[in-house]
Amino acid sequence: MRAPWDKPWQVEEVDPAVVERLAIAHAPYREAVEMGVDIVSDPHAEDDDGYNWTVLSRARDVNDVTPGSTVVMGSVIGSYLAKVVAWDFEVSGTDPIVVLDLLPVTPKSVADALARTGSPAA
Amino acid sequence: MTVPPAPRGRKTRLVRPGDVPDDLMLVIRAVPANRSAAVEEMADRAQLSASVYVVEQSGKWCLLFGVSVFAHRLGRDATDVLRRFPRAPMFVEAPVGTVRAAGFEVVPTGTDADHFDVQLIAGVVEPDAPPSEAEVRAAATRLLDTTGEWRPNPSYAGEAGERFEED
Repeated sequence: MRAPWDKPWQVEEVDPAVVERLAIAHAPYREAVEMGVDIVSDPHAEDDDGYNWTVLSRARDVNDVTPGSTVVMGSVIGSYLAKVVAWDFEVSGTDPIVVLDLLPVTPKSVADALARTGSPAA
Repeated sequence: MTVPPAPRGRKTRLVRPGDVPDDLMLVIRAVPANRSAAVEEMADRAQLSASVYVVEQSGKWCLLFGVSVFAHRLGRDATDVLRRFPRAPMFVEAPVGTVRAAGFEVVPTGTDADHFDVQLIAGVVEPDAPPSEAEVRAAATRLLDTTGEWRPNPSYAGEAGERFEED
C-alpha cells in the first residue's frame, strides 16, 4: 500500500456487492453508536505504511465507511476526522481491516469553517 | 535459525532493523483523565493487534499483543508527538529501558521511524491458548505503572477540540 503522503486522493475501491454482503451481516458497533461516530479506533495505532487502522466490525454503518469516505473516528481520547483509504481482506473476508488516513484538523474546526462560509454542506 | 512460514490468517508486522536504545523516550499514551479507561483501551487494542499481526521472536511467529507508542528523539520534547492527539487531556511517557526493565519488549514496527509496539504478552504462538482478558488488562496496567506522573498534554484543545495546536 502507498504511504499517506503519496497520492492522497487515491483509494482502493471495494466491489459494491461485497459492501452489500458485509452491510447485511453487520451489527452496529455499540460504542460507535454511543459515541455518535462512524467507527471506533485508537488514534495511536499505525500500520506498516503509517496509516491508522481498525476493523469493520467497529463501524456503526458499513455503508458510511467504504473506501473514499470521510468519517468521524471515535476513541477514548476524542473524535478525529479521517478518510477511509482501503479495506484489507488479508486476515478476514468478513471483518476486513479498515485503513484510515487521520486528517490533521478537528471535526469542530471543519464544522465551523463550513458554517462560517455558509456552505450548503454545513 | 530457520523461521517457519508465518501462519495463515495473520499479517506479518514489519519490524525495522537495528537496536532500540534504552534512553529513547516513548510517549506511551495520550490518555483520558480516567485511568481505567486508558487501561481498557490499551488492553482492547493489544487483543485486536494480536488478532491481526504476528512478529518473529526467537525463531517463532508470535502474536503481537501490541500497544502503539511513539518516540520523541533526544533534544525534542513530546509536543511533536502530542500534536496529533488534541483531544487527550493528559499523557504519559517512559524511557525504553524502564519499559524493558518491567519485562516488556519494545518492537520497532512499521515504516514510521518513531513508531514502536510494546509487546504486552510475549511468546504466544497461534496454537496456544490465548491469554485471558484479565491477563491482558493486568499487563496494560503494569505498562502504565512504568510511566511517570500523568502530565497535561500541551496540545490539548479541550473537550470540543476548539483548536489544533500549531507551532
